[in-house]
Amino acid sequence: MRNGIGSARALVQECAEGRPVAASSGGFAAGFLTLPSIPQHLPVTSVVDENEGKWLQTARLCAELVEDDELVINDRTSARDIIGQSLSAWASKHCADIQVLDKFELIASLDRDAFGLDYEGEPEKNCLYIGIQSQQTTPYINVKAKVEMLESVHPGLGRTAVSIAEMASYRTFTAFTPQVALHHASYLYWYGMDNDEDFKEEFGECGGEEELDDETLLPSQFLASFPSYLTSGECLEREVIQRIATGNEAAGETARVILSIMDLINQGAQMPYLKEFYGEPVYFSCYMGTGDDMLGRVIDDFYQSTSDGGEYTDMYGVAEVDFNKRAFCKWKSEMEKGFALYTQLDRLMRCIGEVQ
Amino acid sequence: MQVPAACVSGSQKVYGMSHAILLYSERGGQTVFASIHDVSMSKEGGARIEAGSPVSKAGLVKMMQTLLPEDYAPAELLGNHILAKGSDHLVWYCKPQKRHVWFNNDEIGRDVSAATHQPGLVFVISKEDWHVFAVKGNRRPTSSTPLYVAPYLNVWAGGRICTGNIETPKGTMRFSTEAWEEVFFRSYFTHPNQHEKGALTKYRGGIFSLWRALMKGRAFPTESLVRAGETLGQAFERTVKHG
Repeated sequence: MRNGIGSARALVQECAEGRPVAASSGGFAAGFLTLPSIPQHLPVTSVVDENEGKWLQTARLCAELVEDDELVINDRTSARDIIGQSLSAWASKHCADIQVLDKFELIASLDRDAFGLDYEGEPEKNCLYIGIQSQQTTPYINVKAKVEMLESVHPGLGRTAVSIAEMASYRTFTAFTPQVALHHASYLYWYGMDNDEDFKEEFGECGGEEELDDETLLPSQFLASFPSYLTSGECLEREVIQRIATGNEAAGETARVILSIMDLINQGAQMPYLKEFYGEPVYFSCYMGTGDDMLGRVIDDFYQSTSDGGEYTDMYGVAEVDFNKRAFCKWKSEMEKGFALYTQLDRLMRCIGEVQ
Repeated sequence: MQVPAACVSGSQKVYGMSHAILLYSERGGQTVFASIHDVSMSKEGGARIEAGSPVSKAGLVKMMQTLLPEDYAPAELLGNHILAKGSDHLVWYCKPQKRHVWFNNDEIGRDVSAATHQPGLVFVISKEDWHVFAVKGNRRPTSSTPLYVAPYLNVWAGGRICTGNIETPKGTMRFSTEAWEEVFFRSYFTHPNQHEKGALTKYRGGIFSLWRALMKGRAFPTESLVRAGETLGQAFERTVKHG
């Protein structure tokens, strides 16, 4: 099998060894008289999907996600209807307890171009793509009052909750926390640096004739706008959290949620996105701040920068699933753990913050 | 939280009725003429055939060209290197020359390339396949010219080229010999498709040694070519007429 040599040098596309031979070797369009499988009872407009067989295969796999009585099937139900119904019913069941975090939609496709992502000339694969698209309902969660209350009762518990929330969000849908804001701010304002010393050195080399003045925002000023429990500090040991979890008050509930998240992370819970997902999600599961910090400024500037182009997408991620039961079951199992983790993250956010 | 789900398809096409062609014949007899009509849509979504006009021969040809552009080669003078050309085939000769070739192979190298000497080649595009053969000398081959095995990786016995997932020329480019040659030479050669000793070349050390030597600048050793066992005329019969 031939391999193309890349877009810069050739008319051909790169492909990996072992892939099926393209159906294009003959290159002749089907004669128009043989083109349709257009049903004759639809003489005016016909919708033809060249992948009908694959959709049917996918429908068989997806139908296993739900009980028979969860599907509404009649003589006009298509394979794609069954896929949509099955995915929706199954995901809704696993996400029933999510109340505050960003909502999302599942999108199935046989063609990754449907997600508008640039795969840099990689060949198409014969698999099902399932993407998770933000519904753009990202809440702002103010954690000041509750986390400070937790810190006053059990010093370190608030910091631990914030830290574990960040960890859970990285494995599901990223939260826009002060740490994430620092990452974006470093590229927006400080040439990729995140401390004053490196920034000043870089500024000297890249800043040309400009000089730092009083209005220049420094990384230290940015960090100083947040209480320390949001950006740094030691987390509590598991034994300490377990002791706190025996209590009935708010701290006890928070500790129990932290423990359940720790357990899920230990089990490897993580949304099964492609590692080589090309595109940077532009939406977040939530914004986490104190209401009196620089988070809002970075959010505004970040969204301003995304409108200038780049690989930004409203997809949280896209998973590739091979057309066989084993691969599908693996994806299902990973998704269910991911849903469980997102559900616990939602519960934790309600323990440590209030939606504004 | 209620999670909506949807399917999207890039392969879905919507066909709408736009015109109708009516054929007229005597009862049980041959069609004698045809008329073409616009189709209008009623508010209820029903289709209605409007008044039409007789179809001319030129109109029918134009319609076929629109529906099957690849079956209608553009009008042009044939270059001297073209050996045969039709609506479903193209055969041409590529004289011995230096061309850049690319390899992605353990024996020859990963992502290596060099301008190397090539033997004279005959390419055959048929309805379903794409073949390549080598010829000796630098004269335009004829029907009785003996063919030799093209000593390249990714070529099957019988000369059929393994295209893998590479994009072959389509549409009007389907009749461009340069476009096909570009695809052939500017794709990675990855592995031999014929493994019998001496099947691809008589060069001492085999096919990999041959290409390593060519990449160092060696002139193409035509004595190393292996007879394909057929003439150009016979290969044309096999791949185009009966392909």
